[in-house]
Amino acid sequence: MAEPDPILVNDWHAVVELDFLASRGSFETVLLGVPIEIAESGEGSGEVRVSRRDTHAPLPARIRYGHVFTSIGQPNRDIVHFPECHEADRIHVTGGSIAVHVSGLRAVENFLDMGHFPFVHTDYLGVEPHTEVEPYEVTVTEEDEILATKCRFFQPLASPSADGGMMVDYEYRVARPYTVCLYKSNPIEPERWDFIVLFVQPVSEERCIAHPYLSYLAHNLDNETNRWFMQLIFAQDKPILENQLPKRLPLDPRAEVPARSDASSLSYRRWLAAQGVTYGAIPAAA
Amino acid sequence: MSRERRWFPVCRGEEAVPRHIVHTALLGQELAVWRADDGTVNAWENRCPHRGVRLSVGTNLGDRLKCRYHGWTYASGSGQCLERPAHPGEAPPRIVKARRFGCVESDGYVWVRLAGEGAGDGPAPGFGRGTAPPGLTLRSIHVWAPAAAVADALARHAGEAPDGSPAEAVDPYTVRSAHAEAGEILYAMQPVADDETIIHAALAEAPPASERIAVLRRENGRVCALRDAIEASGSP
Repeated sequence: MAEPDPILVNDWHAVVELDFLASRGSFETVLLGVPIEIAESGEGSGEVRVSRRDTHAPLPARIRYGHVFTSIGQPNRDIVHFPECHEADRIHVTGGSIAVHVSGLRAVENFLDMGHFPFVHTDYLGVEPHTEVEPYEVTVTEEDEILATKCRFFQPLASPSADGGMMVDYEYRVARPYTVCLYKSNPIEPERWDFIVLFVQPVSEERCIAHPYLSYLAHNLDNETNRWFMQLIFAQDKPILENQLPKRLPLDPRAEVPARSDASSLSYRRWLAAQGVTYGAIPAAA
Repeated sequence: MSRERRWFPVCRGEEAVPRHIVHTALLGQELAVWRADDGTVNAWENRCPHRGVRLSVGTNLGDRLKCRYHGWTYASGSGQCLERPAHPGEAPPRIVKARRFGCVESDGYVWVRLAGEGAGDGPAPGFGRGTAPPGLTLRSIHVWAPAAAVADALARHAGEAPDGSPAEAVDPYTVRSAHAEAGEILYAMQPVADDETIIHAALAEAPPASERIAVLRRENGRVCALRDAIEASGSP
């Protein structure tokens, strides 16, 4: 197993949902191979302590987006800022953390993928024969993030507030190697977008925990319904991801055979290689 | 002799039922074994070339396999990719193919070879009985031990039968025994991985129909007891 890359060591990672922590008081997990414990500091203080379970060294802690974030190194940049998550007229809810026995990079790539909707999320995010992935645009921004725009897909039940099939517009953004989000058009407010971000916790190279956070426009829906929908969708992805071989993401462009619809996947793999990310990946032969 | 160029049994032919996909492995290589409606048996790498999902969680459509992840389909026989639903009506490039292995059905079993063309190393696929199929295929038994150790224990075990019947290691992966009760039994090892073996076994002559169930139970008990002994000893 490779040592975690500095870019991952010195970054923030979501490690537990705040509500879940509150229900238990403390929680043990693993981040980049390091066993850690998260504990509430005191009754109702709203503060948390994070420490290594091997050396008992304290680790930095931040609370953001309904989760506790920590780092096993010295974070040299802040947790990514998502303005949508701070808009008061949206419903903000954690989607429920889901452990997946696959590299977190595979989980991110799956989140970027539209082609699987009719086959994995049948009758919700897609249905045959509406399988076409129309051409879309992928760029790497000045902030060194991946942006996929002009994505369109036919969805029978695009969100818990949808009532019938429609063409849905998407934009995807990869902000960090293990952080990805999407913007999705909503029929209630055509000018604004539903927002979902996925903070992927790399447990090991071949295990991850996905922490979704939703900022939906759907004013008339309750948190339970939104969470239910997210859990349903992710429960459909999990068995597919856990049947991917190899479990780590191959960065060699010849390792797996792409199609045009995989433009964002290809860009993500190139971008990971350029950033020197090897943890959870199979680097291309030199 | 290269193990990659040798034929090994990977399942009973009757396990590859129509519209089903058998998930197994040979020498550490995962396989998706499936029968097309026309009877053709295919043994493929258990992995869609597109994004690596196991083909054994996909669907056998009778003349093609459909991947569970993106619906790409691959033709029986050639392994050629026929459809990529994200690009409907567009023929996939010729190079997009499922990875195929040599595969023949013989003596009631599906035999696979991982490498090479032509006759290959070692015996021809089958129990070496020519055209006569075995009388009865027995239940295949999985053992957590290397194939050589299992074959060795099998030869010694059969030789120690109460009736003193002889057993013969035909080669490192095949054992033939003959005892008074059952007559000739052929055992063929499937080396699943370095420490994992499946014993496939068949009676040369079919027992009378009235004794079939009793024979299956007796031989199943025999091999299961051997498995337990091998796994308990660690080194048989």
